[in-house]
Amino acid sequence: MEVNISMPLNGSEVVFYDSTTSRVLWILSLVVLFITFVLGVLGNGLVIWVAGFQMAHTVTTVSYLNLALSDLSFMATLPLHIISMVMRGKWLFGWFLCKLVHIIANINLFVSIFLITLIAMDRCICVLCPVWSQNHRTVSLARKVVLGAWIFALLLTLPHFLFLTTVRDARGDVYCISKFESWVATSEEQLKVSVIAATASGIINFIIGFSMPMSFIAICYGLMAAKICRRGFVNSSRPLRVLTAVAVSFFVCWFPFQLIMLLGNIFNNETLSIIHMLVNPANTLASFNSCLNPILYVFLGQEFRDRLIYSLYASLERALRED
Amino acid sequence: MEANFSIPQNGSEVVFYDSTTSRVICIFLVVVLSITFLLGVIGNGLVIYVAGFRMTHTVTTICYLNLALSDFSYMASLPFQITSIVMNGEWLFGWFLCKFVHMIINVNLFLSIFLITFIAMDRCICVLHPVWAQNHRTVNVATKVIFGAWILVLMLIFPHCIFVTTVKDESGKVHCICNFESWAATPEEQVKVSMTVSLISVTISFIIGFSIPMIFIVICYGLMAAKIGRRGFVNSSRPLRVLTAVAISFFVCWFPFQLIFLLGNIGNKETQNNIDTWVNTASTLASFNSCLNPILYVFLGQQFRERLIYSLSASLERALREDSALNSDKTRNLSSQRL
Repeated sequence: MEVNISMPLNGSEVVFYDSTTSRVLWILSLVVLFITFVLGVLGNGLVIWVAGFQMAHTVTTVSYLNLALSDLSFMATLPLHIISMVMRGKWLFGWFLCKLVHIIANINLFVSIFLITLIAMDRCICVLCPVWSQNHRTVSLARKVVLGAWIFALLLTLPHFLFLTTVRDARGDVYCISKFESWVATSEEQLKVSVIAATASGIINFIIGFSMPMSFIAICYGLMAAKICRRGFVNSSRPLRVLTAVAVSFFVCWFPFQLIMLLGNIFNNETLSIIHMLVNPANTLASFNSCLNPILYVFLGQEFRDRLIYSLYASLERALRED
Repeated sequence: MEANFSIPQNGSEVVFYDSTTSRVICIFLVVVLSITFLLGVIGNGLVIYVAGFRMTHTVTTICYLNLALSDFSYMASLPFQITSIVMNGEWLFGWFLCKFVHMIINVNLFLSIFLITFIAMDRCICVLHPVWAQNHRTVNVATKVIFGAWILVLMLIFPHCIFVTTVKDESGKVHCICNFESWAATPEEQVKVSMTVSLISVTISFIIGFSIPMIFIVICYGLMAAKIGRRGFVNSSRPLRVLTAVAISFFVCWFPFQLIFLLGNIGNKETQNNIDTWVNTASTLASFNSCLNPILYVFLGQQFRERLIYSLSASLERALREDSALNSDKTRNLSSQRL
């Protein structure tokens, strides 16, 4: 979700980009995005390899495999985002990639939260209705539901796809932004449509892409907590721990972004200057979520942590010892 | 060695920094330096902990401990360098840190190569004269030699510390560069002194800080190769493999930097402009050397690599596998059926 709806203002742009805080945040965002790209490609690639080819296909592996596929496709677009950010918003890659890259970014947002919600509901059903789930919970059914999630995400992304295009400004620089010239006649109507579309998009993203799924997840956890007692819930099984880590990391990474976008679309220009400065860091934090899941999977295992630390220590000691 | 001898020019500076290639390179350098900082602090900190507090002090552990201390102190100066790059060469941290950070940079350069040379000579002595080494090679002697290396390094960088200071330019920004106003009266003499000091500094750095130590290392390897057979040398012991990796990584990381600085002070002004673009890149590669050693130590062990790969795959598979909830229900069903 990297919609740059604001028109570039020549004077204030120069002043804005010359400020120290803005520059530091900009550099920091780029550094984190680069690290996100490296870790994300390695981690999600490993998950796809293990869950897709090494393990038997189950409801859980199908869900996490699709989550990794979504994250990896977003990682593939990250270099273009980074270059665009380095070029201060200019877009070098043409009309087609302008649409494709932003579609993938939006799909990643929706598919990630839909899949996490699906995994939570799946686990809830296993806990609440184990007999029913044993009879009806199948891999093919999971595949159909996951496919439905992808289609639903595509439908939600379609309006964004229609409006997004490349625009050339007065200086001849090309940007990838939403444009409504072909939909309305006058400048005043363009501005109105722009505001309405941005508001509708922000609200839809916040409600369908964040708050409703999070509510579903919270309800599922409430039901599972009611079913299992407190001690059992704390010492819950590994799949529940994995799901908890993934859901919490999604909330932590995406909530600032969703909140900032929502506030940015509701309030006036006075608030907009602060929010504008925070959009890039929040977007970077949201992107970081896509490389976080594989790290969570691996480090949730106590055995791996113990073994890794011991191996590091032993290997280092062996290297420094005289023979 | 990140001395910025060029005086900042307002017009060309603006044009230079607005160019796309320069900006991309700047971003890339900041990214690599940030990664270097993270890996370097963690890696060298781990080496200091293991070699300094967990293992018995031997000649080898003392050498690598000092190498890690030097690299770690360089890592401590890296955030200042990164901030300076982000601020287009502006220096925010005052006069003292200006001198101190540049001193640390130079200490790391010289001390790293001196320690690697010492380790190579030490291993050479062990191979050529094992009996003598057994009798005279002690931790005390190693400590004294390393202490001497530190002192020699401090002496070598003393002139640089005298000249580096903070300078305010026309637009009021402060830079951390070599300044000779207090050493010469007229601008012409300042330029002469600047060129002379720069030439001497780069020559000393290349000869004493790079080529002579590298020659010593090559000689040691030649002697060891002559002593051991070819097959024995290839299948050499672990200490020699560690030393080889460290020496090669030092050469690969520092040679471009040293070469560019040497050419920059010898060639003409046309070459100078081209080289300015490469100085930061080469400097970043040289900085990367400081976080590379701990990674080399760890990954030289075959056992660690295999164990790490297996642990990653196994841990991932375990995380993604379905578990106890259904299984526990099945277990209960089976138990009830048996009963």
